[in-house]
Parts: sequence; structure tokens; C-alpha cells
Amino acid sequence: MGRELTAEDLALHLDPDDFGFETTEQLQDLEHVIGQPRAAEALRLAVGLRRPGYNLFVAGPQGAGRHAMVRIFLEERAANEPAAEDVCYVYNFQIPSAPVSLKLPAGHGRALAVDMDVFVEDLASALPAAFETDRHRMSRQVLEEEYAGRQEELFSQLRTRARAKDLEVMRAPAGLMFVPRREGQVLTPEALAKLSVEEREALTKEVETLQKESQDILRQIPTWEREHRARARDVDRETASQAVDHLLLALRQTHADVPQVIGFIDAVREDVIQNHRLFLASGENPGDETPQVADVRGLPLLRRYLVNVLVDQGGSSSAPVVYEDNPNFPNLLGRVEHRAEMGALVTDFNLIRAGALHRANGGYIVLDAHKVLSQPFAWEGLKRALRSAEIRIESIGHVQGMVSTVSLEPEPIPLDVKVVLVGNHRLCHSLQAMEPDFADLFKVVADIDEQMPHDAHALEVYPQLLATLTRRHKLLHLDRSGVTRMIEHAARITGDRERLTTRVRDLGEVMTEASHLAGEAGRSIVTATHVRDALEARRYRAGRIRTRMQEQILRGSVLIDTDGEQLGQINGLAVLQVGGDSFGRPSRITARVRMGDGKVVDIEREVELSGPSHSKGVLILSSFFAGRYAMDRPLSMSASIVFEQSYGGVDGDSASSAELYALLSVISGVPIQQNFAVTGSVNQLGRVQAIGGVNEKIEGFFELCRERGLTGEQGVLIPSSNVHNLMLRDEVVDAVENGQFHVYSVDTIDEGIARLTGQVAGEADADGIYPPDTINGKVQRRLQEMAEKREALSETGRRRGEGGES
Amino acid sequence: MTGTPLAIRRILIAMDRSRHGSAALETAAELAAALRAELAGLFVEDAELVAAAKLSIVRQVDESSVSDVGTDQIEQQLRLQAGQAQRDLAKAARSVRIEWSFESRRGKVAEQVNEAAKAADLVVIGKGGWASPGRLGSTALQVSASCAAPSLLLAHSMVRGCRVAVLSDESPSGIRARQIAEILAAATVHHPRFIDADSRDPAEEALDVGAGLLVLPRQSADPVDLEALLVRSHLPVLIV
Repeated sequence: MGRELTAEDLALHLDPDDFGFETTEQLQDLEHVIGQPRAAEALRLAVGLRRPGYNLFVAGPQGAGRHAMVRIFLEERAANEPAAEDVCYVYNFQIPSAPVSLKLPAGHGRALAVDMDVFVEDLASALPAAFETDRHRMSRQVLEEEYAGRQEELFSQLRTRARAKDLEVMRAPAGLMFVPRREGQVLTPEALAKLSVEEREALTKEVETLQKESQDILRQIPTWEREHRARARDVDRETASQAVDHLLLALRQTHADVPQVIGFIDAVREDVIQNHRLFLASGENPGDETPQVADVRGLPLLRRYLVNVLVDQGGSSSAPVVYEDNPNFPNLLGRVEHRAEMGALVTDFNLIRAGALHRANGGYIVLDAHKVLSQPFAWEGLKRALRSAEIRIESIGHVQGMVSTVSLEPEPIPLDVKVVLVGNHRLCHSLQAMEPDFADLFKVVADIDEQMPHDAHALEVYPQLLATLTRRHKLLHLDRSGVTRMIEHAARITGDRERLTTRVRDLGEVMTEASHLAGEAGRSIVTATHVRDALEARRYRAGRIRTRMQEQILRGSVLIDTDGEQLGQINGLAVLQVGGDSFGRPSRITARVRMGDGKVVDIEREVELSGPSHSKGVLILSSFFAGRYAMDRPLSMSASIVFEQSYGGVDGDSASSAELYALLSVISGVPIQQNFAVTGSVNQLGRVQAIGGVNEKIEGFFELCRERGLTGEQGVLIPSSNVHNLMLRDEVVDAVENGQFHVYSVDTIDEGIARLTGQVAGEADADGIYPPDTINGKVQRRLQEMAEKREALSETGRRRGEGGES
Repeated sequence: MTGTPLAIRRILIAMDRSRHGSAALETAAELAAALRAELAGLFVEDAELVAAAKLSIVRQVDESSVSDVGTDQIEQQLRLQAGQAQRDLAKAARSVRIEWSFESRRGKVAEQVNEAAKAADLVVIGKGGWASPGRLGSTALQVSASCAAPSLLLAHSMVRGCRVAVLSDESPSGIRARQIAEILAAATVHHPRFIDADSRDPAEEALDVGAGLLVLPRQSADPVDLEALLVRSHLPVLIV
């Protein structure tokens, strides 16, 4: 008959007086994660082992406190580690398209950037000013005069010699001309014609001689000019170097202990000196005909001396812990931005932007695995960075080879980061199975358990957890009764009185709503009443489908009996999950039997409305019958089982015991009392096994009975192995306590059928024969009758067949 | 344009291809912009050069060749130079957004400049000779000596907004020099600095007072001394 459970068996009831505090306000926050020893061990290993590939995947359901756990661990660890380095990009004076990276001690990057801003500002005025000093002007004038004097001397000699021959040196558009003059006037062609042949030849000779000499002089001029320009350049370089050295002096002293900065300053100095002309306005350089660059004072020139601080760790004293909420490709790996100029997109190293990996370099980064995998190329980019141990900033177009335009190729930055991916178990298992690189790059998996043991330690820390959640969400504190109720709810979530949930999000939501109700009631403390009301309200809000289904039963659209007795008919129990609500619903299961070849036909399976687990459960029934009742002769019945008015398909084997009871009823001819509902799977030996959703199932049948009126006869049969899962609502417990409803636990089919029929199941004797007036005896006899009839029919058929042949 | 100028409304720039010519053009454009004056460009096709090209024994020499040159060829080259001068003028004028005009004449350069200067309030000319940049060019010398309008001779661009020094005496040209200096100074934030008429080296004194332009009355200077001063001075000199 099984055991009738008492109210104490049906739910966990903690005594508020067992707790040594009045409200959660008196409790301190939890400083560690509770109930996750296995995951904590994995975290400790991954965080402590700074070797390639020892990154971490934290696998667990949403709301289980995965992020909180990771945050607590990482921040605790990071606090004891030194701050990461600043990362800057500066201009590459050799290859402008490949900006150079600087890794500087924390805080140096920003300081250097500020210093260079000042330097650039000063340079724009100091350099032109240096070229306007008397000292520089005089140096250049000395050079100019030397050069002019050199030319003048030669031309003066040439002019003197020409004049001695009555020739004038004239400047023609494309050179010089030696023109004969007479009495201050250019000789006319007529006058030239009047000269004697000798005079004309002499004049011609003189002209030719001077032409040759002048050509020699003219040939030297370009060389002189080159020499002159070189000396002028030296003077200018000297002036520029003095000006820039003065500006860089303080910078050198400030950053003397950072060799990379000194190297950068040297490069800046050389570039300024090399390009000093670009800082000078046209005409400011005396005697200089070299065309000036049009935008010499423009920003692009000066921007090359700026420092782009990608990562500034100046304000931090510990290693970085970075959470990237939108881990797309550029947000992870950085990007090069562009700005529109005259219709074109241009960029420079100042527009390089850091990715999350840059900010986390030297520390830790936490990413949502699903988000990383759902962003195009983000996963590939992350893998590439981890494999190469460097961050290379590229556009997706370049990575994919779809874009070939010239762009910046910033120097890759060495990467030393611990990546923590947070995802659910399914995602973790998928990556392990289908992503070959996953095992190499994420060697440690922290498996988050949704449950923790409900023991003495749990009762110590769980109130602290609730206190922590209260403060985190800024809620009203709970008193002892509220805490008690929350812990009972935590057990209910797990469906196990011996376990408590670790899904803090669910707890937080209930507490938020309970706190709201308490506040509305003008209370400053949340009590058990508020928690219960919040839970009931949640159940009500989610219960539209549940109510509709129950209405269908109450109105007779769906046929479920809760009194009387029927042959081959039983109330099974199913659990439905609709949205966030999970509830039980009774289903009528009927069985019919006839003579046949020993098969049990599952009509749900025949029409493909059952899942494999359900089909397996039904097939076990054939084996049960054959093993128990038909050891020495063929099982000669054919049975069919159906879930009446079920159109959506069924799965799971939790109804297999109910199906078996229906079959035993119809075979034995003993009706089943309809005031019972049954759940539990059965093995082929007739033992009843545990199922899931036991609480919802009992409550589902209870609510139907309640609506029809509790008779005191109604109840549910559950597997004994599910007793520890019972966390029934107060309403059910109260009804049981008052004798209005019953819950029975059974271990075997015999116990169950006895309870359902009110008759003895019967035990087999040493020969396997059951007493005839028991259920089993009636079944055995009926099966025997069917076997005999079948044998007789077979014999008749055989004889007819033989007669036909003869 | 004789008599006492009360304003500078037209600036004549004598254009050539020398480096001083470039500085002169730049300075003339900036002055015209500061004084809201018209910039009038003048290019003179040297008549002597054309005449010389008719002689059969004359060749044109450059550093790599000695080539025959005829009248047509010289005239064509001068026209090209005039065209380039006009383009340079237009570019300079556009850069400071002033009105401009351009004229090309043929004749003796100094004569033509002096002739054109009659319709101008100020003449700007590069002071260097083509063959000896350190010396005073013959055209500049003639213009400085006899031009009707105040003549600004320079080798480098005048520093914008520079202080003006003026050698002041009570001669008619000295009075005009002061007036011109006032007009030019009005375009800057500086008052003119006055230099004693007996100064032995006005250019040096002008440098000492931080001036970027020296204004000299033509009548106060001995022509020989003036030439020496112009050669020696690195400052732009305005002869009034």
C-alpha cells in the first residue's frame, strides 16, 4: 500500500528561532562565493597559473552568480598584483604608416602626452622665433654676402674686361649677351656693317672669348649655389637644434629613467631639425627661395609629435580587471578611426583606439562567451591574439583580405592577459566538441553548480548571501522569518529539500518584489508574509495558461475523474513549462487489452506524439509482464495505451508506472479509484523510480481536487525516492495535515496497485504462482487464459493446415 | 603724381625675375593690402636687349650652350616673361585680396619705371642687380635718384607690421618723408621713430631703434652717400 506521508514529509520548515539574528541588517556581506568549491578550485588554478592557454571558461546557468564569482576572485587577485603598463602610440619617423608602440610605467603615458602637447604648442612659436633672432639673421646674412661677393667678384671681373673691349654684359631672358657699345649706345647693325673686316673679326673674337669665360663662370654657379644652400642648411639646422634642444631639455630630465621615451625624444628632435623649414612661414627665412609647404602651420605636421595614450593606468595601483559588455571585433582588438577631410577619409596614429584587450593587458578580462561568438570575427580575433600573444590592430576588411587600401599598421603590442569567458554549460560543451582551438586556449573550465548542499554551513552563510543581495539591490532587510521563507524557496527552486539554489538572480528578484510589497505596506522589514505574497503574486502573474487548462478540466472539455473507479483508466501527471512558469497537469491514461502476441502498443508512439524516453518506458512494460507472469509460455496479450486528449506530444517515462497500473487494472478486471493520481517511472522488475517535477505534479492534481472540492479521499502516489524532493506549497501541506488530501510514497508497483484498487497485490509462491484472489493472481490467470486460447487457436490452425496439405 | 601725397592709393611694382623682385612683389602686395591701395604691375621689355639681338655677332650664353639669338626670339622670350610676371602679380594680389592692374612697356627700364611712377603714389623695386646681388642694381639706382614717386628699394621682404624709422629734416622731401612714414606707421601699431638728419649712418641707427623700414628724404642725401647707404643697408629703404 506504500506509506502515507505526513505534513512534515511534504515540505521543509525551518524554525526562524534557530537563527541568531533579528534582521539581515545585522549580517555582514559575503566576501566569497558560496557553494562552488569545484568552480573555485578551477578559478584559483587558472588565475594562479600564468602560462599560455591557461585561460578560463566559467560554465554555468544564467543567474547563478557566475559574474559575481569571477569578479570577486579576480579583483581579490588583481589587488595584490602591480598595475599594468601604460600603452601609447607615437609617430614612426622612418615608416609613417607603422606607428610605434610605447609601453611605459603606469602614469608615464599621460605625463608624456601632456609634456608633448606643451612641446608642440611651444614648438609652433619657438622655432619661427629662433629663425627671427638677430643671431640667426646675421649668420645667414654673412653667408649670403659671402655667396654674393663670390659671384660679384667674378662678374665684376667679367664686366670690367668686357668694358675694356667696349662690350656690355646684358641679361637676356635665357642667359647673358655681350653687346658692343659705342658712346654708351648699343652698336647698330648698320654701324657693325661699317666696321672693317679686321675690326669685325677682332670684335667677334673678343665676344667669343668673353662668351666662353662667362660660360665657365655660369657653370660654376650651380655648384656654388649647392654649396651655399648646404651651408645655409647647416646654419638653419644649428638654429633649429638649439631651439628644439631647449624645449626638450625638461622632457629629457622628466623621463630620464625611461629609455623608450628618451629614444622617442631623440627621434622627435631629429625630425624637427630635419623638417624645420615646414614650421617657417614663406619669406621668413632671409634670402631663401625654397618654396615653403603650403600648410606648414597646419595641424597634421604638429600632430606627429603628439602621444596617443591608448591605455592610461595612471590612476590604478593594481592589475586591471576589464569587463567588456560589447565584445565585437574592434571593441576587443582596437581600431583605427578616420575623419573626413575634403571628402576623403584620413587617419593617423592619433586616431588609434584601444580595445578591451589593450586595457586588460597585464591583468584580466571577462567576456560573455555567447556575445563573443555571436559577433562577427570577434572569436577569431580573440583566438589570434591569444595564440600570437600580441594585439595587432587591423580592420575586419584587412583581416579578411577584402580591403587593400593603404592604412595604418600599428606595431603589435605584446599580450599578457588572462581571459575569462562566461557562458552556459551547453556552449562550453559545444566549444569543447566542435572548436579545436578551444582546448588549447581555454585549458580550465570552472563548472558552476546551480545547487549547494543544504547543511549547517549553508544555514550559516545563506542569510549572509541574502544580506549581501539586500544591500546590492538596495532593498529592505529581511527579518528571520523572511530569511527562513527565502531559504525554503531556495530549496523549492532546486526541487530538493537537501539542496539550496545558487542562482542568486532568482533570489534577488523575489527579494526585490517582497521588498516592494513590504514598502507598499509601510513596513521597513521584509517578513515571511511578504516573501510568500511575492511568490504567490509571481505564480499568479505567470499562471494564465495553467488556469486555462484547469478550466478546461473543470468545464468537462478535458475529461479527468477525481472520484469513482474505472477499469483500465488512471490519472497520470505531467509537468508543463510555459514561459517562466512550471506546473503540473493531470492527464487521463487508458489501457485496453486483447489476445495477441505480447506487444504493448503505445498509441502516442504510433502517431509520433511521444519522445524516445516515453517509448522506452512503454516497451519496458512488455518486459515486466513477460518476466513476472509468462515465464513458461508466450505472453499472448496485445495491449494499447493512450494519453487521452493529448495532442501536443509527451515525453519522459514518469507516466510509465501509471500506464502499468492501467494495464494491470484492465487485465485483472479490477477498477482503479479515480481519486488518485500517479507519477513515477517503473523498471522491468516492477520497482517505482524517481521522476522530476514531483512538487508541481502533486500541486497540479491538488488544485483540480480543491476546485472540485476536497473529499479527504483524494491523493497522489509518488516514488519513495522522490520524498526528499518534496517542497510543497503551504496550501497542500495544510490540506494533508487536515486529512483533506493525501500523498503516498511507493517503492513497487505492487504497493501502488494495492493503494489504487484497494485490493491486495499478492505475492508469488515458490513456483511463481500468485494467489488467485489478488491482483497479480487475476492478471496471471487472465494472461494464462489468453495464452491457452492462443495455443488452442494455433493448434487448430496447424491442424487445418496439415489437413489441407494431405 | 607730384605734390604732397595725402594717401597711398596706387602702388607701382616694377617686376623682374630676380629674387629681390620676388621680395618686392610680396612686400608691395602686403603694403597695398594694409593701405587698401591698388597694385599696379609694370614689366619693361628692355629696348636695348631687342636692339642688341639684331647684331649678328651677339649670342646668348648660358651654362651649357652658346646660341644664336634674333629679334623675334628675344621678343618672344620677353613676352613670355611678361606673361609670367602678370601671373605672379595676379597670384600675389589674390592672396591678399586687392585690386591690381598690369602693364607691359618697351624702352629703357629705368625711364619706363620713372614714367609709370608719375601715376603712382609709391614705387616698389628690388634693389639688387642681376649680376651682382650684393650691389645696387642700375635700374634701382636710377629710380632712387630720379623717380617722381617715393621709391621703396628692398632686397628682402619687409617684415609685416615693422617699426618705421624716418630721417627727418625740414626740406620739402623731409616733410613728405614724415608724412609717408606716418601713413605707413598708421598701418602698424608702432609710431615712427625719428632719426637725426645729421646721422652719419641712418641705416645703423634705424636698426638700433628696432625699425624694419628706413624712410629717407631724397634731397637730404648726397647721391654717392645714398648709393653707399642703399648698398650697405639690409633694411628696406624708402626714398621720398
